[in-house]
Amino acid sequence: MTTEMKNLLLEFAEQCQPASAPWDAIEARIIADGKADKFRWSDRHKRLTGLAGAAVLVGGMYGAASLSPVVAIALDKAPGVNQVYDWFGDPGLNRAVAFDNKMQHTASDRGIQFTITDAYYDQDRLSLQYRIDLPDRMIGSSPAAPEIDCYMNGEKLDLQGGGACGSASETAWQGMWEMYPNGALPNDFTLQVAIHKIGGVAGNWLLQVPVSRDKTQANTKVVELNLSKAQGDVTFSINRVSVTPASVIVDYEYNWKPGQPGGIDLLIYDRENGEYLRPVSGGPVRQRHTDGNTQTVEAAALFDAPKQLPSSLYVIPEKNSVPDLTQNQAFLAPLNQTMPFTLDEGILGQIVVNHVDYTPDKTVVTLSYHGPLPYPMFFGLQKPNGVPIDPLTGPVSNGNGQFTISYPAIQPTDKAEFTSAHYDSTDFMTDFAMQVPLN
Amino acid sequence: MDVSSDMVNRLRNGEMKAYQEFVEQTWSKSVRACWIILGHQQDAEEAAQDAYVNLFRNRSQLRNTDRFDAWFYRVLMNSAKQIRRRRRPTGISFHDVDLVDVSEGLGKADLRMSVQHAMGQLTDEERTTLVLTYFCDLTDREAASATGWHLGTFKWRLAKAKRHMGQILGQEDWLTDIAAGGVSS
Repeated sequence: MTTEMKNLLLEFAEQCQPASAPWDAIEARIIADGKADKFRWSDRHKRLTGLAGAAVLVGGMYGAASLSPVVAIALDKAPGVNQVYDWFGDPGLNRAVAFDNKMQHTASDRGIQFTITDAYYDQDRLSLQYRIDLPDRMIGSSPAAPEIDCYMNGEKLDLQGGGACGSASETAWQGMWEMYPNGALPNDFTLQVAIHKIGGVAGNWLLQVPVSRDKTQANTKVVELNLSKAQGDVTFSINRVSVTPASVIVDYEYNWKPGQPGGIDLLIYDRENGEYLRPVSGGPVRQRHTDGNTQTVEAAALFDAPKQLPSSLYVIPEKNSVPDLTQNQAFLAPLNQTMPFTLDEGILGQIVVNHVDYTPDKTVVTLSYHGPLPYPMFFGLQKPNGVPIDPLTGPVSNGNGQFTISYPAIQPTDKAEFTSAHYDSTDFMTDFAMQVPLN
Repeated sequence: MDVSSDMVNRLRNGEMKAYQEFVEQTWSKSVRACWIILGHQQDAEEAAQDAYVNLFRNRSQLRNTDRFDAWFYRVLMNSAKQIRRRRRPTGISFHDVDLVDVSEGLGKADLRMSVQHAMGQLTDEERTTLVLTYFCDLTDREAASATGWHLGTFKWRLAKAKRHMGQILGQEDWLTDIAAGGVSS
């Protein structure tokens, strides 16, 4: 009977004709699954910390205008000599320090000495480390990275750039400037650097710096691609991958509904070296084109370089979790209630509101934050009619996860409310995963 | 399931290449095992995919490499169970589709229809016992372990499943076999 039953079941089961094994989808899920456990809480934490801590992206084409309080906090933790890259939130550059060109090019004006000490130049980026020596005084009350204009043969270069700077001592600042060329540049050229303001002091600091890809070229791989996947109304394409000693930059493209919050980030897995490439904040900014109800987003993602150049990289798109307070996880919490009380933001942690001090000229909220971000980024305060109340200052760190935020004077009877949301995990788009050959 | 101890060790070490080989080698059987239980091919493929992902996630829990089959089928059955809980309210299944292929001859087609009917009459648990015993070739103990049921419960459900199948298919010798306590071991 056993044999009969066995044969019967085997024959019956043959009615089911599975498609071939979907290994790509399974592998993508395995990678995403592992990432969900490890990446989301560790690497993502670093990434976001890097974003704020780097303070980056002053001026240039990034459009960031002012430093947030958290950036100021980060800048208070001044970088020591040779720690700038790490401090900048770009450990890939730190690891690629052997590919730096060391130099001492100095310009002086108004008693302020500006010295470029290192230049890193590869296929995609040009990074300068510098030091500012002051005569005997600080410039301004808070440090700010000087804006740098770059030229070649007198022609202004089309670059996306930004930088950060912190005090190294009472009379010295140290910082770096990061640039992403829009278009091809020669392997060797003389970079002409012009700075017209350092701190609050106007002047002219002009330098000529020879830069060369000699050191990086042999360790760089750039592949132009046309990999594309479509499902439903989403199309996702990878157009270019560049692997250099300092970083991996992936140029990709996807369609997105105009006005829809968030976008698509990438998760990159190097199977040969068995590591997820850590995403790094910053990087080049690409374009968005809107045509009717479709928005095409050309994006670029910056990652740490792999340990060794692999023959391929595995790319999994991920819907990013840029918080959208209009979504249904959003919630409101009255400002005037028994303290302390907790705002549960899900994977973004918890905010415990400890005190609200109402004074005639301002209202100060004291809270503690426990979560993966460097500070509680995604909550706000609003009036009962939904109008946001912008903070006067803060969040300012008091150490140990304690922050204070000052708002314009509000009375308890105003019934102001915290706006926040409970954030769920990010969405990996495993159906769009791709193996990108680098050979 | 013919999986070498070397392969099992590679799977336990999280070697992706080994996983790829294992998935490609066992995919059809895994899907079919789930299909017999769930009745829906899409659900079955989903359950199998979940099982392979769960296998990787829980690979460090495999202590006894000699019992890999039973362990994997346990993961597979759990995935099927999860899928069953969120089963689609509609869909194509062997419960409601005519599986007759007239080119095979009516005798075989009749038998297939009978099996289809019989399977449709069994509970999910009863189908699970048949799958693990006759399709996956597990012993009663291994199958009981794979389902998480006590051995006695498993044997009871298997006996019930065989009795139902025998009754529906009209094969008296199966009933005789069951009456003699002939559950496989």
